[in-house]
Amino acid sequence: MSAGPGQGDLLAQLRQSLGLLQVAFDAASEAMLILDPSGEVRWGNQAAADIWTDGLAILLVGRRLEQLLEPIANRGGHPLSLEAPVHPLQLLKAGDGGGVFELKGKVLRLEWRLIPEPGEGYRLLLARDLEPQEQALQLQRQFLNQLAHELHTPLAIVSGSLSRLQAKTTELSQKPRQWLAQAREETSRLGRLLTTLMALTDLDTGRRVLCLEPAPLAPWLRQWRHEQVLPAGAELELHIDPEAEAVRIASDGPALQELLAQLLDNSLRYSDAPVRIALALRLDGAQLQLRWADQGWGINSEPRDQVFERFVRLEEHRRPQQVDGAGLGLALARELQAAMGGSLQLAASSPDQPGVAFLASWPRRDD
Amino acid sequence: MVSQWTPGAVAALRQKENLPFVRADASGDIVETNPRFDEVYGWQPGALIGESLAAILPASFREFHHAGFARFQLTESSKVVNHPLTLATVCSDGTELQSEHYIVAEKYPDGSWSFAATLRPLEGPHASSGAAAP
Repeated sequence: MSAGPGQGDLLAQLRQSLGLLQVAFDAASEAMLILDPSGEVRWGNQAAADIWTDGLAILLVGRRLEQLLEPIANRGGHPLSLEAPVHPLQLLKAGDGGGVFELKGKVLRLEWRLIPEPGEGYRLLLARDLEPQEQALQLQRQFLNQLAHELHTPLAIVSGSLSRLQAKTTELSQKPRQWLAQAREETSRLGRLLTTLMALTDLDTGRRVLCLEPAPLAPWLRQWRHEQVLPAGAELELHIDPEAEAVRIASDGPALQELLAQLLDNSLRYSDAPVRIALALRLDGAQLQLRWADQGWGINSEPRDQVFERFVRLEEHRRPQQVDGAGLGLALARELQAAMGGSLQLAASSPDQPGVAFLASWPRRDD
Repeated sequence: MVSQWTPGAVAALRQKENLPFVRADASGDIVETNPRFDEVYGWQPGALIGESLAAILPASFREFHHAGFARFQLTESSKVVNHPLTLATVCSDGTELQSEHYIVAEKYPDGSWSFAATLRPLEGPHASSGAAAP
């Protein structure tokens, strides 16, 4: 029914305000969608309509999120099924987050977050083209990935040749033998660096997609502990909370192996003998948490979190007579965790607690 | 931006075939429906006059409608006019029929606006096939 004169003015004012708001949102280059608790679109701006409904915003109404995100691929172009744990639909069950995906023929950064208004369960979904610097980073990662793969084969040949040469060291004088040993040591170091770099950039570029399956971590962890061959004097204790015993996570066996191998390498490398490592698995709300603590040299350089950056090697960890790590291990560990939907961080340090403690967390899977 | 309104568009649309037709004023209030509209969607003649266009849109579409309408009034441009658009239309009994809407806007010399649409029901007893033409 038409409003009275006073109400008419108010309505006209409100309409103008609404129109201005819509103009502003439509001018944004970032696509915005508000999804209701059932996963249907409640509102969207013009950029969202341009992506999903040929520019007709009103046709976004009632579209379901799974319709909007199908088909979707990771940033390496590998199609993701709706059930894949790294599909945005699965990731957003764990809360706010985001990632880079191929959608509608574009490489888009998607972000999702819960919004307290207009009610519980509403989500805001944002989508935007990668910024030029992000595109450059993506290209750089692809280049690094290709380079690492290209270098791997010739390095293996060089390494094999050096091994054969060393088998004949009796024919060499002492100096060439030293050169040969040094060459083998450096080749081996380079090989480890390349292997880690390949693993890291395979994840970066989407070349490697984890096969995540819901499985309990506790028995897997026990088996892993059982299989470890540690240096003489090293100890690795594992404690599993009864509450954490049957808790399942989305895991990928090889990725878990690599994650723990990197943490183990880190503890062995940066501890004085005898190395003592304590692992504790417990349930922390909806997260399964593994605390990995050693009694080594610890991390004191601020910001402590820099140890997860690529090619970072702390000055406080340099020792004469010790071959440096590549500075990629913890970066790889964190990426592997992220690829499993989890996180890896440093526990707070304490003056009366030597060493370093990492906290690896995974969202529990109840399905 | 190309002009979104066409002189004479409403009159042309009104005479187009025997399709349900609805017209609204600059405020988005319905000022005219034709007998075919009333018949197909079950409304009593004149029952919708003075009501907002939102009355024939499902609740979930109303926010988009209001925002889009307000935006049009500021910018005089819209992507929903001048081409077919499949939307649900609310009948007098509350049921919804998918219909192909063809919306036009017309600006008169005195600066006032008129909006009109033909609707081609795509389901229900009056469903028709084939794309609507302006």
